[in-house]
Amino acid sequence: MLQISELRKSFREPDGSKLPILNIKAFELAEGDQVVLMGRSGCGKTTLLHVIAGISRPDTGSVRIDGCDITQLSEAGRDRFRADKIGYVFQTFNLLPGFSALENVLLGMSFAGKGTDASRARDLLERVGLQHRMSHRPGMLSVGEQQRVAVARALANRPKLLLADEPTANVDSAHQQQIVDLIRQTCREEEVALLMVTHTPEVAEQFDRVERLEDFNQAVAVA
Amino acid sequence: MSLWKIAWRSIQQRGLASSLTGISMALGVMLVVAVLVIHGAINQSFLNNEGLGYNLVVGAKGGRLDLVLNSVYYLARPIENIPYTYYQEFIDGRFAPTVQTAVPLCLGDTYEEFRVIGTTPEFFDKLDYGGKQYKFASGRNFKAEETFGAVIGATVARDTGLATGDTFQPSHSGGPEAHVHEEQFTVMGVLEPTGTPNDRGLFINMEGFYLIPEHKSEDEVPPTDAPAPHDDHEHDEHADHGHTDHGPEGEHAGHEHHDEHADEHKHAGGDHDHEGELKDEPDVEGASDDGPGDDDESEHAEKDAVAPDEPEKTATADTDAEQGASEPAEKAESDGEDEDHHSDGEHGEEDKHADHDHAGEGEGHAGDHEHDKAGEHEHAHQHEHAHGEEHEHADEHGHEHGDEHGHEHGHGHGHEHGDEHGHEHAHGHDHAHEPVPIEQREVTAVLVLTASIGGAPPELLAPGLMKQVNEGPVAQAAQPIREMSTLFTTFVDPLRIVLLSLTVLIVIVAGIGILVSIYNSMSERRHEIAVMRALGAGRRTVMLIVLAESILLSLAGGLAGWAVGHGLVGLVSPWIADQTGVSIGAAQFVGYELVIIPGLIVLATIVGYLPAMAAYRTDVAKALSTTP
Repeated sequence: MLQISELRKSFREPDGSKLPILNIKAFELAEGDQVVLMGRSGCGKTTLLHVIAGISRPDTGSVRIDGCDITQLSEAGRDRFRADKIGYVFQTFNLLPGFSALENVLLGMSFAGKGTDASRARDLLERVGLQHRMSHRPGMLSVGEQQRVAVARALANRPKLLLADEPTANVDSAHQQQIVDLIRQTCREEEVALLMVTHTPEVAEQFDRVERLEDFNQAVAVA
Repeated sequence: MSLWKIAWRSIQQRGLASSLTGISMALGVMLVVAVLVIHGAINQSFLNNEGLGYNLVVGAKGGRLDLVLNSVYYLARPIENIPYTYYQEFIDGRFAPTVQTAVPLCLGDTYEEFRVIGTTPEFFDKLDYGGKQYKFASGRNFKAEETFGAVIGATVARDTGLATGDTFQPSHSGGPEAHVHEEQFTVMGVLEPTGTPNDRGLFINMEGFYLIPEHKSEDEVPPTDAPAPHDDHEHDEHADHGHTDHGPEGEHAGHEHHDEHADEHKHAGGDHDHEGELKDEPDVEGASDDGPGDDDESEHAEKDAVAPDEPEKTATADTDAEQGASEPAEKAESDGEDEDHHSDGEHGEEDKHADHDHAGEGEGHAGDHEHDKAGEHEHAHQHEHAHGEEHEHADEHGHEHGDEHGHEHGHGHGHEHGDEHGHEHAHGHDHAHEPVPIEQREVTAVLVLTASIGGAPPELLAPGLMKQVNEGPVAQAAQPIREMSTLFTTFVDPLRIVLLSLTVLIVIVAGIGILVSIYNSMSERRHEIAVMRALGAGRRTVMLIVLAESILLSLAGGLAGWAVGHGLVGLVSPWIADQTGVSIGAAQFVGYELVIIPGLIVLATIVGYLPAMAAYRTDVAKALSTTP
C-alpha cells in the first residue's frame, strides 16, 4: 500500500548549507494497516507526512502509494492524487471557518474532480455523531466536534490512506479517546490504512504497530 | 462545491470588508451608469432623426442652433419670424415638390413656464415622434376651424392642472412687454406623454394665434395705459401687428424715413431684407415710387410677401383715401388691442402716439404708393409716422411733424378707416375674430419633412432643399440633428468624456480597494489556502478561487451599482424631463452598459491577479505549520 525507499529530504539553511531532515531507507504500510508514528519533536514526523501526502517533495527516493510513485508526478498530479487517495487530519483541525460542517466535508470532495456527494457527506457526519450539527460553522462546534468534522472531511473521497498528525493533541483528554476510537473505527469501516502521529503513550499503546521515527530516520540518528 | 461558492463563502466570511469594498464598487458603477444612461438618452432623443418626425427646420436667418433649440426643443431665447407666404412655398409653392409635410410654428407666447406654440392640426396628424403617432390621453386634436382650440402636452397638463375643456390665456413673453393676452384658448385634448419636448408645449391653433393682436406687431403700448382709442389709430395698430417681428428699431427707422421722404422709406425697407425683397417683385407693376412704399409695408405692416394683392389694394386706397383705409381697418379688426387705442384723437397721449406710429407704418406703406400719386395721402402717412416718432421720442415732435405734413389728411384718412374697423374689432373680441390677412401673418419656423421619392429616405432631399432655402434671402433651413450633433460634439461629448473618465476612475479606485481588501486578507487566508491545497486543491484552483472572489465582489458591487444607478436615473428623470422635455425611465438602457459586465470582469481579474498569485505561490507546508 505504502512503500518508501531511499527517501531523503533536507531543508536549506539560511546560510546555504543543507540540513538533512529525512533519510529513510525503507518504510512500508500494508493495506488496512493502522500504525502509530512517534518521535521527539523536530525529528521530521510532519515532514514525513507532507512527503507522503505529496505536499512536499523529497530530494531523492520514491514514495509509492497504491502502486503509484508520487515523486514522479508533477505537482498538479500530486495534488490530484492527494485529493483522490489521501486523507489528512490536522492537529489543529483546519476546518475552514466560513463553511458549515457539511460544507467542509463537501469541500474535501470538490477538489477531487469527482463531484460532490452530499449524501455521503451527511452519512459521514452521522457516523462521527454530528447529524445535528451539519449546518453549524466550526466556530459553533466544540473542539471535539471540530475534529470529528475533520475526520469526516478526510475520509470524504474514500482515500486509501489517512494521515493523522497528532489529531488528539488539541482535544481535551475526555474526548481524546473518542477521537482515536472514531478514527480507528471509520478507517476500518472504510478500509483505509492509517498512519497516525501522536505524542501520547496512552494512544500509542492501543495500536498493534508503533514506529519511532528516530529508529529508521538516519538523518535524525546522525544528528 | 464550485469555485464560485467557495469564493462566495470567503467573501461572506469577511463580511464587513467585503461589503465595504463592494459598496465602493457599487458607487463607481452607479455613477458610470447614471452618466451613460442620462447622456445616452439625451443623446438619443436629440440626435435621433426619426424621433422628430421631420428633418428640416426653416426659420428666420440667424443662428441655426437658436432656430433648432427654439422650434424643436422650445428652449433658448425667441427668434425672428418669417413671412407666412414663405411657409406657403412649402405647401404649394416652389418648395412643395420636395416636401412631404410642412408644419408651421408660431412661437413667442408662454403659459406659466411652458411655451405656447401656434401651429396647425397637422402637427399631430401628419408628424410623428420616434415613429409613433401622437395619441391623446384625453380629448382630441384641435380642428383647423376651431380657432381657439388647443392641445397640451402631458407635462403641461400635469404641472398646470389644465385638462380637456379648460381654457387658458397665453401671455406674451417679451420681457418688459410681457403681459397676458386676453384671448382664451380651449384645451381640446391632452397628449399622452411622448418623452419629447412636446410634452412641455401648449399647442394652439395658429388661426387663433393670429387673432392675438400682439402677434401682428410689436407691443409697445401697455394695455393698461391705453385710455381712449382713436379710429385712425386702430389702423395703426393693425399695421403694428403685422410687423410683429420687427423690433422697435425697424419702426423707428421707418418712421423717420416717412417723415422726411418717401425714398427714405425705401431705405428702411431695405434694412428688412425679407419682406422688402419679396414685395419688390410684385411691386414692379406699380411705379418706381411704389418700390419704397412696398418696402415700408413689408417692414412695418406686412411682412408677408402678399405684395400682389396689396399693391392693388393700396393703389386703390391711394386714390381713394377711404378705400385704402378700409383694408387696414380689416386688419385692425383682427387685432384685439384696438379697443384700448381708440382715443387717438390727440397725439399728445402716449397711447395714441403708439397707435399713430403703427398706423403710420401700416398705412404708410399703402399710403406711400398712393401718396406718390396723391399728395394728400402722403401727408397723411407722414403725419402718422411723425406720430410714431413722437411716441418714441416726444409728443411735441410728433405734433410738429404732423403739422408739417398735414394733420387733416392723416386724421381724415385714419378716422374713416378707424370707425369702420373699430366696430369690427369689437365684434372680433366679443364674438368671432375674423381671419388675419395672409400678408400680415408670420411664422417662427416651419417643420419640414422632405419627400421620400421612390422609397428613398427623406434625408436624401434634405440637403438640396436646405441649400435652396439658405441661398434665398428670406430664411434659413437647418437640420436639427446636424445642429444638435454639432453642439454635442463640441460641448456635450467632451463633458461626457470628462464625466465618464471621472466615474471610470472611481470604478478603478474601487477595484484597487478590492485588491487591497483581498490582499490584506491573504495572510490570514494563506492558511486556508494551504488547507485547501492539503485537501487536494491545485495551485491553479486556489488561484482561481481568489480571482473568483475578486470578480464576485466586483460584479456584486457592480450589479448593485447598476441597479441603483438606474434607480437614480429614475429619480432624477422627472427633473430632466422638466428641464429638457427628454424623459428617461429607470428602465432605459444604453448599449454601452453591456460593456460594464465584461469591463468589471477584466478589472476584477487585473486587481485580483496580485492576491491570486500570492495564493498560487503559497508554500503549503510552511503555511500549514503556522497556526491561524
